[in-house]
Amino acid sequence: MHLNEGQLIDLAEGTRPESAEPHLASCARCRAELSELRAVMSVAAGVEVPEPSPLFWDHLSMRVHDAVAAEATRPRGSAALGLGRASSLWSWRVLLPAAALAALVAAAAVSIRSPSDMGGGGSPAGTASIGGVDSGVDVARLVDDDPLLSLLADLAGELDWDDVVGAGLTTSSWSVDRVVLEMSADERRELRRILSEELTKS
Amino acid sequence: MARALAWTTPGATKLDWGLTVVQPNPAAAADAVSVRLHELGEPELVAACLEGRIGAFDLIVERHRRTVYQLCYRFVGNHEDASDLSQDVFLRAYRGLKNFRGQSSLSTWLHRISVNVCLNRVSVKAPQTEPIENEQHVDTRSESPSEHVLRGERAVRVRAAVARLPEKQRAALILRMYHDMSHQEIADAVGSSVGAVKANVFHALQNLKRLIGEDVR
Ligand SMILES: [Zn+2]
Repeated sequence: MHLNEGQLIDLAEGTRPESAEPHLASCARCRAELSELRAVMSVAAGVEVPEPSPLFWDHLSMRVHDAVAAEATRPRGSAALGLGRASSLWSWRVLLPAAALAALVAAAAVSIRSPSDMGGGGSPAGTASIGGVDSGVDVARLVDDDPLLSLLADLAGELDWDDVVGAGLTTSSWSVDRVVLEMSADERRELRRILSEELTKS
Repeated sequence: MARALAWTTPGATKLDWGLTVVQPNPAAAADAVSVRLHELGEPELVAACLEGRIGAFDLIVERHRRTVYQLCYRFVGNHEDASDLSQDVFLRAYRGLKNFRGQSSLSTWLHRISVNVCLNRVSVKAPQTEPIENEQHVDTRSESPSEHVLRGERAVRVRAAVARLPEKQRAALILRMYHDMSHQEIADAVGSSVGAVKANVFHALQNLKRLIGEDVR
């Protein structure tokens, strides 16, 4: 009688010693089967899941937080556990401390601020350098026209400019649109959704 | 509420997209409540959730999100579905937390939920596995370029093959091989016997060998 599936698995996984199955020594077929099992196990075991974008983990936490908060704020009697913080932007701020949000805010702020304020080229006050190119665009109008930029500009007001400049942030190599471009489609969609939600609140 | 924007601590971080920002001070960023939550063990953290302490469930998510995502990814073989499924898993866990009695570890319990969420989902949706060029984040320093390509292609092929296994074989193989659950724990999770789990792992490996063929000697 050949070894059954369970016996072969126990041997292949090493939870049962080969000495416990005397049949193995006398049966080439079972030995071959065992060695094939071990080979495929070793190939499969070495295969990792690809690492997602570093932003993904906090993004996932935020999505769960929002879903849970939405659930918790349903009428009493449903599965509320009292996790009532439903503010999505709050999640972004807490969950993305130095990454996406700060980068976006800083990028927007630097882009929106006049280059002359930043010690950059001599554009007239009130124009912006977007995408590292002096566009001569009217900042106030641009910001008014784009709710995303306007919210980022508000947030940017909270930054300490000495620290931003001290950290080596300049307008030359990056801009809010570049940062937004570098985000995954998922992240962009989510940021847009949250920002527009936030804007319709006020 | 501007703690995410408190850029006052030294220590600059170069982000992937070429930005340099200053990390906020983690100690200053965390308020007293979350500091205490971080010190809690599993049962206390669950209790804190049930008492409605803000942030307790967030912390559970933070501790287990990687494992849950990886389990889901192995099931479906692509990032998009894995990320949707992970969210479902945690939402389901949140709803069911009051029924968590602590007989198993939280992670085993979450594995069980994950498997059930994945099994429900995959039965209504055919797997869309990643294209080969998505292979990434492999340490290539000690490999030649051709070894690297082969390794990446093989990994993609193995993951795709796993995601194509029949559901019960897939569940048994993933939980046993990648999440270190015992046969008994898997049997409990999928509602079968230890014998059936071993048979499923066995057939999963045989099918895998057939699907990835030339890779196995
Ligand atoms: Zn035999």
